[in-house]
Amino acid sequence: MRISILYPVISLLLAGCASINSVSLTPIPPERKNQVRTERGKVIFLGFNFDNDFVDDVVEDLKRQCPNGKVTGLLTKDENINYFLFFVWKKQITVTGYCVPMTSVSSNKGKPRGTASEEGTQNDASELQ
Amino acid sequence: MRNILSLSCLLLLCSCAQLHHVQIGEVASHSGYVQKPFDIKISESGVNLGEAAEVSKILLNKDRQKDAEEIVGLIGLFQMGPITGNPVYVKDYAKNLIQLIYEKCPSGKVTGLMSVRESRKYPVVSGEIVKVTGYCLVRKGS
Repeated sequence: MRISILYPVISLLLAGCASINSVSLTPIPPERKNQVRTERGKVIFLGFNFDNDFVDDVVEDLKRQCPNGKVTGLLTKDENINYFLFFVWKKQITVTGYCVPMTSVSSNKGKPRGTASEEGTQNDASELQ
Repeated sequence: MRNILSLSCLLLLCSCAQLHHVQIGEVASHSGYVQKPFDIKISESGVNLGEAAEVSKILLNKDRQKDAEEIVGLIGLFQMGPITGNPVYVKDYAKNLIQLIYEKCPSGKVTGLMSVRESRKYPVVSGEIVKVTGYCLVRKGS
């Protein structure tokens, strides 16, 4: 009897309640074959958090995943996951996007103007040629 | 007693960092360009009026405490709506951010821009920070 009560209580305490702080999105490319994803998180106990440096290498990680292209269509999700009666929580940043090879970006140059995302990609590519 | 005092001082002096918002822009790698990292930090002092009222309860006499609470309540009426961090009294402190990016990267070819909105919390006051990091694309050999 005691164990049957204990298990749900423990599982309730360990389960995380997630809340989202912010979401941002950059223009989505027409070519969406190669998805890139990175995730960074930090566990905070009783609110004692002295820096937010865990987010610093997100861009570096995206660059590693797409060395010769452009990462676009980036969805950045900033969320809090609360555990154990809100004594412990986790700050989590999840970034997903698409790696578009530079050749593909350049080949879009001559195409007719379409969506805003295509337009942005063309402009960026032509600017850097 | 001394231990408690030093621990309290330590807790009062160290700041807790609170992350409000992260946004990442497009990341491009160009073979003909060198990526030069840069970062910009803008901050302004914020005031937590609730904590200020609590401190005033310790420092002021009873009549003054009441006045302080009323003032805090009155100011609170004018500070409604969604906020990140504590209110600041210079509303456009992050206004020149784009100008600062241009100063760091005169070519204007910027990639991997990450903007972070965070707070450094101390008792009563806080540092309301906007941090931007990115890479300036500089043509190889220039």
